[in-house]
Amino acid sequence: MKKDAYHILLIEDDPDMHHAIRAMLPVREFELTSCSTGPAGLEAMRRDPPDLVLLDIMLATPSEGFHLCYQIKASESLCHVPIVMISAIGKRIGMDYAAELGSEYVPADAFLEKPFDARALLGAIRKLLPLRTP
Amino acid sequence: MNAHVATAWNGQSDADGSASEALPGPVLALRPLRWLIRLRWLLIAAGFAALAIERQLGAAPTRPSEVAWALTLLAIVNVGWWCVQLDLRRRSVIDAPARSRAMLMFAHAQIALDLVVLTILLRFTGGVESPLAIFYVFHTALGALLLPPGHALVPGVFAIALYAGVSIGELSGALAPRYPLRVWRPEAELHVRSAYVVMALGSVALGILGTLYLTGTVASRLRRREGQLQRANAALRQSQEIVRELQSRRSRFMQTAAHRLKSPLATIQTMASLIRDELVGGADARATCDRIARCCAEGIEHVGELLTLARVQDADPRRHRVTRADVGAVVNEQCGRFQSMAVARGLRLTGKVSAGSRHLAGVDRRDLADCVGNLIDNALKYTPAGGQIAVWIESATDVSDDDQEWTVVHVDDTGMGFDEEVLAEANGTGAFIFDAYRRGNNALAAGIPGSGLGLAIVQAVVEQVGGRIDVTSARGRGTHVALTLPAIGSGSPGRSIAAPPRAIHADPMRAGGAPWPALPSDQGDEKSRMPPGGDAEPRHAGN
Repeated sequence: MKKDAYHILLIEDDPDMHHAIRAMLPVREFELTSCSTGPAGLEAMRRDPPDLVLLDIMLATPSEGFHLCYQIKASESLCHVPIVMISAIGKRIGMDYAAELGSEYVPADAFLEKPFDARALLGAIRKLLPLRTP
Repeated sequence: MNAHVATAWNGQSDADGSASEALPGPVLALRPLRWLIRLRWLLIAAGFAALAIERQLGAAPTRPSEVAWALTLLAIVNVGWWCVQLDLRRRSVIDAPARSRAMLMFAHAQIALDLVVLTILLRFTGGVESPLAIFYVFHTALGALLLPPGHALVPGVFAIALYAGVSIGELSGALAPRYPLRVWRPEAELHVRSAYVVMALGSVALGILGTLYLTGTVASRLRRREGQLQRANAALRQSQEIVRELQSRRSRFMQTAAHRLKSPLATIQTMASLIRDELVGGADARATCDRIARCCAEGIEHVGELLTLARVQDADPRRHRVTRADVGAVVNEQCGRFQSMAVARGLRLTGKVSAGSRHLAGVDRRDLADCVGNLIDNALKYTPAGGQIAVWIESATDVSDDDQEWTVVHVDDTGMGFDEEVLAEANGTGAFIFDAYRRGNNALAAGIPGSGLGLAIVQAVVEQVGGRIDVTSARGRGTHVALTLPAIGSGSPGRSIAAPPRAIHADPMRAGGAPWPALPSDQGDEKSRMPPGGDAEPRHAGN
């Protein structure tokens, strides 16, 4: 792992989103690890805690991302890791997770609605991770 | 004896303001008993008022003090009754039989003491000539309303006995001196005339028995109606609950469907932004375009499956009764359809249907094709290269159900199998593997595309025809799915199914490496007669 790069863990069941997010993150600044299921993501976090987690809401079940989020925030060793939740569920179909951020209901640190572009993704990540100067 | 106090006024709000309908029966019966206690306060107050007025009017003070004492005694006892009902109210609802017995005794005791006090008042207010005798009838009516039919007779007989005691006592001179109702104006001495006493006693007895009969009949009818209303109310509540659950499921389904439909579009837009922002170029750009094209194809396939599910769920289930499908032909057709895909993936797909054998099932042909196609498609998706998929048919007879004939379609693969926890869920709280959009973690981990609607379509069809689905699976070893469908003999009409039972059954494979069910030989579709309770017997839902 590169010394100065942030370690980002992506937990997402759509392989195309893995491809897209990998292309959006500058390799000199971010090192991306990806998992496609909740249990695998949690296991990877415990093995090597990342600097930030990009977490999809709908995985094997429509709310698995939430359960994972609760587990992470309830864990003493992982609760400090910022979580950016990503989902196609958003205000447009009646949900407003962004308005609930940080609450007991949505204990994530940021919410990014799909589709998003590189600027939106990097904006969300950089709000949570300070810019590192070489 | 299974004693209970009649719940005559169910459904009204209780004295404490709580809704009575939410409370169990024994608590409800306290309300009329409390009403009786309140009514007694009114009568005691009226009695004391009458005595006071009598004295104010200057009537000769010949009324004995026993009347006032009797009223005072009644007041003291009424306070006791109030305490008893408070105690009964506090008692645990869990001990309902004991509580019901206690309330029955409470009601009997109240009415009996009222009758005794009434008899004392009667004794000092004119005896057999007193119009207060009408209150015997009143208490009898109360007893018929509050008590179960057999119990209502007790206060009636007791009232007749008490009135007879006063009448005969006065006639014989045993109860002397006698106190007329109007102490200031002596009345005709009717109580010493045998004919009058017999007539008065007969009238009161007839009045009491008649009241018992009429009130008892009306009360019984009311209770029956009340029971019917309570059952109807319970059924209505159950229906409301089911409708609410269905609406909730529909809403969840809509949200999930919206998400699943939006997801490929969102992915397409996100990947298009990679090209627009020049984050990918050259070969990567072409690969991204390929991904976009594949997302479009998946979206189209998803919409197609969603439409199939909607068609299957919305279509009239009776369509299966008036049609029949040649299961062998459908299996051959579907195996042929997926053959090239199997070859391309390095899989061996075998359809074992004997030429000349004919298996007819009471199921819509197009729906059956969807079911078999989805099962084969799943098997192809989740079986790694080099694996095998076998599809075969067999007939079975359920000897425990009037020799009902069944046609069983087996789809067997050597693929990745279901997660054990998913099967455990299916066996425990519901067959989630058949829920729309439910996909196993191992499928997601392997990046296998799929809408998660295939098994939901299969479940919808099999439930409609009254069949069942058996799933046996082991992680990493494969899955065996058996669709049991109602068979139709050659030339016989479609079987009528009154109420399709739940048709889900999922078993994890036996631990310790139990072998797969042997793949059938070319004669594997020959009819087998299965004993009841046998492992291979097609079990009905709910068994």
